[in-house]
Amino acid sequence: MELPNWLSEASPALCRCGCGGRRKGNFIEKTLRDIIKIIQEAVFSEEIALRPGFLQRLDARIKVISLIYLLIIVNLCAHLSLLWGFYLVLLAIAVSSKLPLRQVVARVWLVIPLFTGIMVLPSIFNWVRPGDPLWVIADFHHSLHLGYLSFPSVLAVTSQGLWGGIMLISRVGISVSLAVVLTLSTRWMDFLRALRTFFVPKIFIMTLEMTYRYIFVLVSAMEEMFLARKARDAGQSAPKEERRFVASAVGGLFGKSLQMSEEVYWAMTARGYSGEIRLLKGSSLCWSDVLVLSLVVLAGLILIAANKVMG
Amino acid sequence: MKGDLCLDEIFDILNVSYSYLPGYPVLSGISLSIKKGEGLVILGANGSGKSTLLKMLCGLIHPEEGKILAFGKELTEDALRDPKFLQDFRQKVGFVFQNSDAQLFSATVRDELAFAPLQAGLPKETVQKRVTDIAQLVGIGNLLDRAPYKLSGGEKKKVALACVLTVNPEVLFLDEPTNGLDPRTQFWLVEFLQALQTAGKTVIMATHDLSIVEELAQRVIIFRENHTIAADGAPLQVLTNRQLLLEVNLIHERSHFHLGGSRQHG
Amino acid sequence: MHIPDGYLSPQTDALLGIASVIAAAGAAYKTAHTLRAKYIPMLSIGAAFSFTIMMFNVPIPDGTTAHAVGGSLLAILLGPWAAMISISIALIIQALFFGDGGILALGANIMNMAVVLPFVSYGIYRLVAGKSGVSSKRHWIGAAIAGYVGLSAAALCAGIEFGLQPLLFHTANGTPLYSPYGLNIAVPAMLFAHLTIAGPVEGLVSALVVTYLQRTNPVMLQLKSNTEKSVGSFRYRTLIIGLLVLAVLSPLGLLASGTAFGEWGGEELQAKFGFIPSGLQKLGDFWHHAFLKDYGISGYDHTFWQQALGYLISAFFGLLVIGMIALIVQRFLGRSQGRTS
Repeated sequence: MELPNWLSEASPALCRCGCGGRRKGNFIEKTLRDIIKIIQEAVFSEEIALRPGFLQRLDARIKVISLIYLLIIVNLCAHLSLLWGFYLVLLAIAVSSKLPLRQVVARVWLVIPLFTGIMVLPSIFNWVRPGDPLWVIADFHHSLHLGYLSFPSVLAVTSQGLWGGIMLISRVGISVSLAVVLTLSTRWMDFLRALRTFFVPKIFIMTLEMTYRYIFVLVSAMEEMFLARKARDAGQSAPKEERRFVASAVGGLFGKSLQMSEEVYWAMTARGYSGEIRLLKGSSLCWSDVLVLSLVVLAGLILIAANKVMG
Repeated sequence: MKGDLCLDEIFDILNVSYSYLPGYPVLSGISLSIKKGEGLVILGANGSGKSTLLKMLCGLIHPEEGKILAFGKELTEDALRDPKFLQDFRQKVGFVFQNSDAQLFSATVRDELAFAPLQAGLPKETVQKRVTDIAQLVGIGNLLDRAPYKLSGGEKKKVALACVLTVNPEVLFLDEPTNGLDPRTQFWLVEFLQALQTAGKTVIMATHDLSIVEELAQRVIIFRENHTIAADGAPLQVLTNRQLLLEVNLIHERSHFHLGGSRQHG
Repeated sequence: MHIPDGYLSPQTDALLGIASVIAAAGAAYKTAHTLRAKYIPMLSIGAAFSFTIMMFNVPIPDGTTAHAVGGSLLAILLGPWAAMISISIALIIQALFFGDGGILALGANIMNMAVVLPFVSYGIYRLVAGKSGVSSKRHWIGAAIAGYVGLSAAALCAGIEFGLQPLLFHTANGTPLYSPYGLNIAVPAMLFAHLTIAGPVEGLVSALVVTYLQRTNPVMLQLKSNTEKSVGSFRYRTLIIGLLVLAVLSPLGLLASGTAFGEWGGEELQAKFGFIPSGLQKLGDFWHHAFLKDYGISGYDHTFWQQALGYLISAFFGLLVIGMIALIVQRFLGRSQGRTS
């Protein structure tokens, strides 16, 4: 076989002086990082869910019911003391089940106050949301006018705004914690399987389970595309070209998805699928599961009643 | 032989043609018959139509011209609408696809293995017993509660094979079964298929891996690149015809394929 | 755009959840009749695809990257009904396993991103593309506008949902219980963020992918028209009536539930039970009331909730003790059995 001349030449030597400077991580890196994060998260949560512990032993069906029930309760409670009391109990249970605190506490409380905090920050001032002043920041002695807008003469933090903000951050953080604790302690598959016992239609469950399955297939196909692109990336590409690459990656992935769905359909048909789905059901509940569920229900009612009593 | 139905003939293919896009046939005028218990290997270069033929025999696609008789009954889209025939037919034939990712669509290996027998309407206890038995047999008992995305290529192939075997099919179709397998798993697969053949199963494979032919085939069919049959006969007779293998693009001029030494060179 | 739990009241979540379930039922019915048995793998992989699109980082002019939702693209490729199911399922998996968006708020998120977004986008795309050929410019222009407007419409809905919260749910002294901004702030804020960055990105991605498919694989742009041509007439009417009834009921429902759960300032409740909301300063009081009965202020002991609370707490601890005993007995029995065998 005759190779063209340029193919037999050596490529230029690597520059070792570092004179080119450093480029910021680009969209390829970011996407690859996201992909790895997804896969890590799946593997990591599986590991935690397999550790022995109180929460891990609970039936997934109980956990699904409890999660939804308790989320409603937490979102109905209007008293900080009740919310935080509930949170401490949840935390104690999570710790006793050997869930990693970094995941359960740090990741929630470092992120939520930041995002929700920024969102809610303007609302604590009386210029944005009128209320009873708690702490006066500035007094301009006359009302301010800015175009159509007019502001009161005093800029102050309102007690309603402040308490509302704290309430929102607490509520969001505690809701997220609740979801994190229960999903971390359950294998994802068991969580999906738990849905089989509820009123959810089989078609929906089958679709959900298959989606869960094919996310990993498509994500690894996507990873391959981005790695192949990274291997040929010499740092010279224009944003326009990069966007075009993203578009062709999305388009290519869509083609792959369609082909995959055709093949999956054949694979299902070959094994007797003709529109009706039959699934294996899980085992029956044991007494301790029922006991825990009753305790959860009572705890929720206690919170509601306490909330009413406190007015 | 062709045309007259004797009892042990399970498939009869009469002058079948098919094309995915008009004007580009993938099968043209194919006729052959397959006997019960036969170890049949279909050879052919990429795109010669062998996978299409397997899908057709499995009733997934239907011929545009000609007809297929399966177990003495014509296999058409309409015939498969009869629930009784559909159920019998799906239990009699199993298909191991080339792409395990497409074949393994359930969330866990256990669900995967249970899918076909549940569809066939077997009682839950039987299904559970079959799942554990087959898992034990294939050596995937420890993987039952895993998600398919966590399996290696070899494990996926084993699961794919197991999930077809749980309905106890009479005929087993395999599309490129050795693709991407390490030598150890490949060896295991060949031995396993031999055991199935000894148990009386009909094993029909499409491949371009010449090395597995002599171990599994009693009969070899070679597809030409123009989608017709170039040769049909005993492995020894077909695979020693170097001129023919060159002609259908299964070997390269300078490759040294020869019978008996195939495992070293293949 | 993914609303977390805690920003919306459970009452709002419930209403939007019901509306989403009705829409999903419509979609299931519709797709079942168009794609038949093939639709389970198609929708599942569509959902996995939609999940994957949300992971793409798109380089934008200022040198950073942004994410696209991909909802308009899916609507263009699969049709609005199939897109709706796919996006809903992707959202459910994101909420359950990746903490993107709340679990109670799923109804709201599905309403915004899986119902409003694909339907608005698809309508605009069809309108612009018209009957032009597959390779026509009108297709990618339509996709761009569809992405931009669709996402902005979804943002508008989210803004309205946020904006209703402080109007309906606050304590007696006006402390907001959920999202604090009224319609006059929430709607412009949500719209601004999406009209300037997220909307253009969504439009851009849709247009680029449509151009790519026009160039390389035009068949994929026609999937939709091929599959849905053979549809028997679906009774949109039932669905639309259902949604209209909900739309009419929702403000009523929100108001009604706002007072029914009127622990925050429902005057009827005060009158009925004869006690005054103690306010946030007296938070600690509750524990005294619950555990140190002799501290009781007259009037408190007679309230329904006060009594209910007592019963509930006794029941809780009673059950807990029974459970503990049962557990110990089981352990003990298990151990002694282990020893004998």
